[in-house]
Formats: sequence, structure tokens, C-alpha cells
Amino acid sequence: MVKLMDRRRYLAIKLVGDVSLDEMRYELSRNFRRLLGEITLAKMEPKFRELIEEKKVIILQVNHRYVDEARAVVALTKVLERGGKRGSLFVLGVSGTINKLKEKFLLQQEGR
Amino acid sequence: MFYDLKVVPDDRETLADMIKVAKEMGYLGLGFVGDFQEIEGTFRIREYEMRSKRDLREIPYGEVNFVYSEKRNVLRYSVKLERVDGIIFREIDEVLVREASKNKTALVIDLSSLRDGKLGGIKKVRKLFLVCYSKRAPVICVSSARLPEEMFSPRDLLALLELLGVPREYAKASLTTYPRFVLKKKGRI
Repeated sequence: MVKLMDRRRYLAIKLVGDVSLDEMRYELSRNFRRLLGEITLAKMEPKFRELIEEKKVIILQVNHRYVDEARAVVALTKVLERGGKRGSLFVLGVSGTINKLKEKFLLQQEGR
Repeated sequence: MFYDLKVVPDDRETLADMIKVAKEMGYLGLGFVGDFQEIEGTFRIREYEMRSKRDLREIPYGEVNFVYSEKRNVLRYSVKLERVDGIIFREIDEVLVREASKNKTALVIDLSSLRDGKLGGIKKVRKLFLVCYSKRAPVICVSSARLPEEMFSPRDLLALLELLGVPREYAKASLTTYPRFVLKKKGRI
């Protein structure tokens, strides 16, 4: 039987720098298309679930088979000079549910 | 667990910012090029550009020394010296890789070309890694970051290198085992 609903993974992506979160999200989605191409993107089904401004965190949903591809694109997404602003991204952690992700990585960050 | 053995901050404050971000990313230590004092979790490294074999005599013992030269014969000679811990590896040279593998001297692959995310840079890093892997030469991955925004998260980097065809264990060793080996050899950890 063909499963229409694939398993998902949620990535907590942290922003370093002074570029806005929205601008970084735009940059990330542009890089997904540029580096992976439309076909991989269709299989990967990336979806921005939340932008948490106060913690500078983006929550991204992807197909569970494409976590490494998502991490690779995140590693290559950097804004090194745009109107005197800079920014880069890195993955704080990966989880199977949003609640667990927040519990594991965002609350832990608060405690530091 | 992970080490980035070459960052190039302008001052001590920038280095402090970098180590803060590095800890969040999962790095245990950073090697820096600069003449300011070390901060906890950082190690000073020296980088030398050599014009001739004679220049190699001036490299001091006891420090972590990385060497770069535009001349292949100088690089091939420096691989055999005990005081040299790493060779900055920019151009493919199979003889150098074989010698590095034989002498257990690390080849340092600079990831700064990945920063703009362009095809040329990605292709170059892939080729350098695969040549080193073919001879099982020890490799150290460095970012040469000047600012915290220019650093790479080690786990994201592993995912990228694996996608490029580098075996995961080998890629991991370039961020863990080989840098630790160099630091241990110099008594820094």
C-alpha cells in the first residue's frame, strides 16, 4: 500500500547575526531551490512552521528522508554583507514532533 | 568533541563571541591565528607562508604550526618535518597526499570557499577531500572564519560532506580525531 503521508522531521534552526529572521528565511528557501533543485524539493516538502523572533529560531518541517539535505543547505546559507548586516544559520537539533523539539532545544537554551 | 583549528578573529572580543557561538554549535575548542591572549577553550596556532626550504628552519618547536607554500617541493619537504603539524592543502597534489599519509602529517582543508555557496567552491572542497580519502591521509577541516557568522556548524558540515560523497567516518575524523591528535601531540589537551 502506498503511504501518502510521509514521516516528518522538525529542525530548529538558529540565526547568528543581525539580519532579520524573515530575510534569512527568504535566503534559505532560495538556497533550497538553487542547491537541491525542484525535483528534490518536491520530495523533501520543506515547510516553514514557525519563526520565533525572540529566540532567533526558525522551525522547519521536512520529509524524514531529507534531513541531511536540509542540514547541508542550512550550512551553506550565509549572508556575509548586505547593507552592513550579516547572518548565518545552524541546526540546533532535529525531532519528530514540534513539542518535543521545543522541549529539547528551545527550553534547554533558556536554561543556559 | 569537535574542533575548528583555524579561525582568524581581529581581536580578543571577536574571539570571545566566536567561542560562545562555537559552544552552541557543538565545538569543544577553537584554534586561532593572532597575537592576543588565549581564552578558555581556544588554542593559539601559527601559520607560516614558506618561500623556500630554508625558511622552514625558522619554525619553532612546541607550537601548533600550519604551513603553506606556493611551491610544491617546499610542501613535499615540510610534510616530513616533525615541527610541522599541518599543511594548508589548496591544490591537488597526489605525491603530497601520499607523503602526508606516510608521515602522518595532517592536510588542512580550508572551507572558506564554501561560504558563498557557489558551485566552484563546493566542487573544490569535494575534490580535495576525495583525493585525501583515496590515500587515507589525515585531514583537518578548518573554517578560517573572521566572524561568528562565518563559522560552520560541525554536524551540518558532516551532512554536507556526506552528500558530497565523503564517507561519514572520515569526515568526522577531520573534525574530531585528527585535530585532537595534533593538540595532544603538542600537549595542549
